[in-house]
Amino acid sequence: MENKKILIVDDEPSILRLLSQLFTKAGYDVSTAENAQDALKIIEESNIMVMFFDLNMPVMNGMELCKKVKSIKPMSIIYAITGYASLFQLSECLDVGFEDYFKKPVNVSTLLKTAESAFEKVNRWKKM
Amino acid sequence: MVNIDETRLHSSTTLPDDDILRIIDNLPIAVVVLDADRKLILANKMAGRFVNRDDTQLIGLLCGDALGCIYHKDAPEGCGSGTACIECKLRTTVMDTFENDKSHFMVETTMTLNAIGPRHLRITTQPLKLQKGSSVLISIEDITEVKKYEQTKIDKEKLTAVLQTAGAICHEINQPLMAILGFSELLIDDAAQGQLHEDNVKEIRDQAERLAKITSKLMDITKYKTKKYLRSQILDIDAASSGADPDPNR
Repeated sequence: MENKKILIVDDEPSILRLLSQLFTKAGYDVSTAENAQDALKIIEESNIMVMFFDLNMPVMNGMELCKKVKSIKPMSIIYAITGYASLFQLSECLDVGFEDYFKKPVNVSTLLKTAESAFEKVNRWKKM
Repeated sequence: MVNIDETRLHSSTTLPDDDILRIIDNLPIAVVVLDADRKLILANKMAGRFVNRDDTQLIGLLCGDALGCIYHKDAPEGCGSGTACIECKLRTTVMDTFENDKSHFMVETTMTLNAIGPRHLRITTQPLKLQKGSSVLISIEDITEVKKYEQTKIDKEKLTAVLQTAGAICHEINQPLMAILGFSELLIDDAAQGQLHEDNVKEIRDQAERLAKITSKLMDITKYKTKKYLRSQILDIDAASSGADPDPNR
């Protein structure tokens, strides 16, 4: 399970607790952050490749954070999770580098499958 | 009532009568004058253009006939006596001007005219005392396009408000909903393994209570306040609600 690290960034404590339990139970090494500043600190100090960002966060929103992370770690795989967004915002998500986009409430099994496929991709890249 | 013999008019009009008529004829607004029989004794060019007819053909016609009102032939007694005429705002305004020597300013009404279909009109009436007797001067503005623009603007504003409200509801409700669904899934999984995490049960209860607070706030909305959401705006349910909770979400 080494290197199967996931970072979850959401300003909603209940969502952080939920996703943290879910992914931990599935065997992932989970880090959480309530804001972009804490998230960037964690990203700089670790080799996390798979991340889930909420879009609407104070100070720096999920899109800005994704753009910044992609400039530091272009190979990272980042997913957006949001309570509300329009089609226009969805297209913006893809533009800034999100791999995919989920609207809350998203089924937990969908998130587990997503994480699994993200790590398959990371492993495939490592073998190149 | 305006008397054209008033000194004020004579003193201010050094122009010959023909020039005055030319000015009236070329006013950028439809102007007609009705005699006591409600027949047109004057119609300027714009009045003719308004109903797609030569203005000279309008003289001598009853007002409804001249304008091409779709109801002007409905009653055997003639124009102005039909059932639709009773509710016609143009007719009641003109009649009130005649009967009470009272002018009316910018009265808005809708009429369906043969040549141009349903129109939104703004009418102003003024009682006149001419040598031939009592008359009424009417100016008619076709404000159909203005009304359409205003309605489109209102509809757009309504749609924006609906979308901002929908956005706020999605944003506020989908958070606890996801927590409830997610923790329920974890509970089902735990139960299958004979475990129970009390904290997760409490989390479900707390999030359900949060949902109840949100719906309560939605019912207490008294103002329209928005807040930034990514690059758009959504309704600020807390600020809009009269029973605003200073710490609403947690």
